[in-house]
Amino acid sequence: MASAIIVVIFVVVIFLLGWSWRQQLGGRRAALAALCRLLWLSPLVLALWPRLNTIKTAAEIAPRVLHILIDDSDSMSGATAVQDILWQAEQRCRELSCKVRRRYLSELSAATRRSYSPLSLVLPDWLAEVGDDAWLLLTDGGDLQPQLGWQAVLEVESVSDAGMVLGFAGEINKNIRLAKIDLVPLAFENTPADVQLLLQRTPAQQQERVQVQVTLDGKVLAGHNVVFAATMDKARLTLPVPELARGMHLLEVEILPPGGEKILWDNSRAALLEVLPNTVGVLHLLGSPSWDGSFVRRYLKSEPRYDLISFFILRDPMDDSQVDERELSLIPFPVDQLFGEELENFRVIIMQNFSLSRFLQPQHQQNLVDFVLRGGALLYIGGPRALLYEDIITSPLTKILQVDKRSATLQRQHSNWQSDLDFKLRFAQPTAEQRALASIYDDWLEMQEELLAFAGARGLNRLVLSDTGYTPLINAVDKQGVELPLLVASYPGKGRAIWLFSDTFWRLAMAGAARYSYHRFLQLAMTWLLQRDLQRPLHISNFVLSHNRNLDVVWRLELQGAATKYFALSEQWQLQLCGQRQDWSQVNVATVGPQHKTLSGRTAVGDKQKCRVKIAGVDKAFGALQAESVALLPRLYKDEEVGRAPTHAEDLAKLLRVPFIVDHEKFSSKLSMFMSRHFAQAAFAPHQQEKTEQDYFWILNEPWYLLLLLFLPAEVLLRRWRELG
Amino acid sequence: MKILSMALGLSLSLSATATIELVAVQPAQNWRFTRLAQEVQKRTSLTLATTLAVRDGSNFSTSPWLWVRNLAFVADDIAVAQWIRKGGMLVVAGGDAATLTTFTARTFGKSTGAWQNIPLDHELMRSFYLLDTLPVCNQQRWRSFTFAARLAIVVIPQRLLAYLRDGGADVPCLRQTGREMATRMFINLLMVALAGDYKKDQVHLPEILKRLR
Repeated sequence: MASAIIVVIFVVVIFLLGWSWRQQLGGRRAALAALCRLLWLSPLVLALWPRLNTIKTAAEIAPRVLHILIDDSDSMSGATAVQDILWQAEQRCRELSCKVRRRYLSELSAATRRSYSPLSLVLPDWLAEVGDDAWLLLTDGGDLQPQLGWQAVLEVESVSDAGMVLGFAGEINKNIRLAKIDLVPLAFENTPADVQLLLQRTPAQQQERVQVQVTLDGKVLAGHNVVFAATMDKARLTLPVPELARGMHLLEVEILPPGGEKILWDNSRAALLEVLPNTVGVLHLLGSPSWDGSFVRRYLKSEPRYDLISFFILRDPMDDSQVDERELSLIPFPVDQLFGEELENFRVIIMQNFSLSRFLQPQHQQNLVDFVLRGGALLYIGGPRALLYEDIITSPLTKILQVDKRSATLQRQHSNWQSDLDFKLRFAQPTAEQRALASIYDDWLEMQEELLAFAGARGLNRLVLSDTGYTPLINAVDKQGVELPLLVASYPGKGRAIWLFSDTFWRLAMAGAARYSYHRFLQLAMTWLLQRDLQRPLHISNFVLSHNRNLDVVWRLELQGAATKYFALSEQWQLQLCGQRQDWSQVNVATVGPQHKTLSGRTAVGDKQKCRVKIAGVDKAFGALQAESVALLPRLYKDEEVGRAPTHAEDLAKLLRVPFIVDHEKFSSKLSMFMSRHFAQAAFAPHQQEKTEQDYFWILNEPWYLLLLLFLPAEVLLRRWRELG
Repeated sequence: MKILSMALGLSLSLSATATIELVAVQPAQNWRFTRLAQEVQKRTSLTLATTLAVRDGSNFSTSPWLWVRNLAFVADDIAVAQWIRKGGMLVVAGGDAATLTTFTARTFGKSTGAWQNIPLDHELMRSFYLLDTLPVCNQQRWRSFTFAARLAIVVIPQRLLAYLRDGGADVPCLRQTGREMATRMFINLLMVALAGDYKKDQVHLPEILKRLR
């Protein structure tokens, strides 16, 4: 507004000026002279409308930083090379124009002054401070809780890989360590578990014999003598652990210290073993090898909890393989044994593209149906050989699947299989009562994004089901928009069944971003079918006890499973830790995902070395649930007890995927290479900043500005024309 | 299974089966497999399509298996690796195993999956026919890449499909093997693709049943 007024004033002043020249110059020349004045002064007026310019400036030159953490605990006192390394790092940084930022362990934790090496307490925060910069760690590997393991305290994904660990080894003392313990964390009742161990020793000179024990609550479960051959520094051992009771067990593996060994902290380790109810027997019947059968089989084989027996029809009765039977691998299958005596030992039967009436004797057909009625689970997957006329009209299958017999699609001569029927998926609308019975519907609803986007579904057993006795879950919608049953759940007798009237779902594995969707789809189906057997909707993992900087005991665990989404800090949920009920106000909860939370807090465990955690919850959605785990409180070791532990430092470097150098003669060259790699190319961080500013003189950058200036001499000429004449 | 079928005295028509497509990449677009499909249908419970489904580097990813001579059909080998991870099976017939080894090392990492010459106790040797041996060609053996406990890539030194197609000319290294053996090898490969190591379940049957009781 102000600018407009100024322009008006400007124009008026010029006009008046021209008016005043009228007497002297005459009307026409006065007007032209005034116009010239207006034009050559116009840049001044245009400055009232500045332009906004965005400019990039090198605001400040930020030298890159080399972070160095120096372990100055007691055990590092003789490490004279530290000063040389620091001097060299400073020198190289001068050449490369970087900046060294040193931190000492003693600065970061007072525990150092109490003769501890608090490396595991300090490292997470220090690495967070380092960010993406380059870093060096100078340490002998000593730590006050060395048995904890680095992975328990560090989040590896967030650590910069532009680092290096320089390790300091002392004189070689006699030491035997339990370098690695491999134990599959799940075992089954009545089944022994194997623990695989790797033992290492220094020095590797003479033949030596040591004893290894596996204990549970102080009771020796297994023991074995290990012999190191002369000059060998490693020995491997597989120890069978006898059958354990169902539940969570913390096994302790220990090398009994031989004479002369001073460093004992690395002689023992603990490992968690959960013993589950016996494995689940699954019988997979396939009417003909197919891609869908292949993908179902892959899923079943990928789950260790399933003991899978398959029964595939590779050849039809009328087929002629044109060879002597001895040239075929088709061995007799114990049909009578499986479908007679052993059927009750399976928990789920998967019938896929399989005709009961054509492949099994009537008694075996009846046994299969009785199996479901007595409480077994059935997953029925369709296909061209499934649900033939006899199956759905006269076979015992009619007891557990009721098809509308008046349906026009039911004809003896014609299969209900429509191989060319393309369809999309649409979730059915079961009643609230039906939905309550089939919680699988809600489970699959959580996958609706993937399922509804599933394109390329083709092939359907086109059936009309009777009105009652099942819960519709997902329908197939053909190109005409007709909805047909695709997935239904039913509850025949005491059992459960899921009916999938298509063999197309393998395409979900190939179509999606990952095979995960397909596995999840089947996993949810199997979990619903086997709910009583595999009920683990709530479980605890990664339960860790450790010390914080004040040497208080802190704990952390991960809570997972379908029931986790109902978890709340309320009276319906209880946490018992080391025998004491915890107040929720003292617990930190972080949500990682819909079925994944992290809980942490501080606790007092007294003298207990072993601590059990239990989380119990009550909710209408699942009734009552409980999950538990157990962990050892890592003992605190004084620096002198741990000594120099370069292998521990090496473990850290391996975990962080950075180089580890322990030979001090190589420090100089390796450090030089490390710094060249990280600083030579761009010692200065290319910090640029964008700035927006008003440019009042923008017109000076425009070429036509010079044209306007030409009106200045033009005005002079017009006004002095007579004098020039 | 045969014993079961005979015991039941079945004489039924079970012609309704899902048709298995042979999927390959160009330039093998005009090949037909009428005779091979007849043989497969006559001998097994499977139905094989008589024509070749042809794909290219942009539309192969929904096929469960793919017959190729090399990986040149696709510019982005990461896509092939992803396809294998999702469940695809690659059959390289008449190709170079060394190139494939480099491909898997680059895309799967050296520690994931394993290459091997197909041993005599491999499921491929007994998935339907009992085979004594697999023919060698120019000192190249049949090789397999196992990923996630399944046969993910198989490298056949001979151009098996070229030999088995309608009017297929003699193919080096398969002339001596003969059409009957080539058909058996193809059927065994088909069975492994569709049924995996199904035969192993039968071997472990007594042990599994004992555990389940």
